Amino acid sequence: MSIHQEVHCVLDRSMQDITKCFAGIQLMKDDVGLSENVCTVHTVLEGEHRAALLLHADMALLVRLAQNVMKQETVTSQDIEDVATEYFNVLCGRVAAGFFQIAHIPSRFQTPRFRPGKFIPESKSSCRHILTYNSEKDGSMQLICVGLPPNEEKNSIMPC
Amino acid sequence: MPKKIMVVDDSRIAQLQLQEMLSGTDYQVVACCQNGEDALAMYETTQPDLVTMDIVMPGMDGLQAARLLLQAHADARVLMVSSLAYDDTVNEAKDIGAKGFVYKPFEREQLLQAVETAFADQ
Repeated sequence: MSIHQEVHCVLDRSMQDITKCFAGIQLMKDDVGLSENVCTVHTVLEGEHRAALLLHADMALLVRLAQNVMKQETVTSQDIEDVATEYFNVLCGRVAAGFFQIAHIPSRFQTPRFRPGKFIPESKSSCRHILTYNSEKDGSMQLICVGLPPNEEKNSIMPC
Repeated sequence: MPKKIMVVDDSRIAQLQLQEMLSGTDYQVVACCQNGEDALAMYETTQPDLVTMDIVMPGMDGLQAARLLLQAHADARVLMVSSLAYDDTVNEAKDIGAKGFVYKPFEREQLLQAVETAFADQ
């Protein structure tokens, strides 16, 4: 298996496992597009190899995530943001551990940030993975991993 | 008398989860803080029996905070609770003197087992 495929596997396994364990939501790989109502959570993996990690998620799915984690039907926008950020934090930890397993390179990541809307890294790197998932009735999510050159400005993203 | 726990995690959700999982046990969350700097300051006033410490936080990270805390208070008990869990970070936590490492996400039983183990050498 090439390193590109191994990275893809780590991202996919982490996404499916963490979403199930953290929020009890089963994701299926799917190319169904995201809705217009999307939020982004993002961070940068720091280390010998740098990468931007972003999650685009339909608001409906983030609401379901927050409801499941907080075990209540009524959630505020602050709850949704806090749950999405912690979910992504846990996901990034699993990804960093997976990358360590395949490359033995330790990496840390910055505190994740949440933004309403859809953003992408400004990087022109061709090294990128885009994984799209669908939950049965709550919408879609997209995990994006983009390689960053060492000298690129930290955590620089732009709307798309 | 319940043992006092101080939770150090920048996530409100993680703080709530820890409080909920520890409620009704022999442990009580007496303080929560969101970063390493606050943890060091609050330890003095709270004097907890155990500190649960996240790693990825704004400002001083949890490994650095644990190192400084244990340098200042050799008898402090620190339990790392983080998603950043692989050989590098787990070994560093062990070298610093942390009593254990709980990987996020975790179940209540895993947390309670780790907390009990952290108190085992009392």
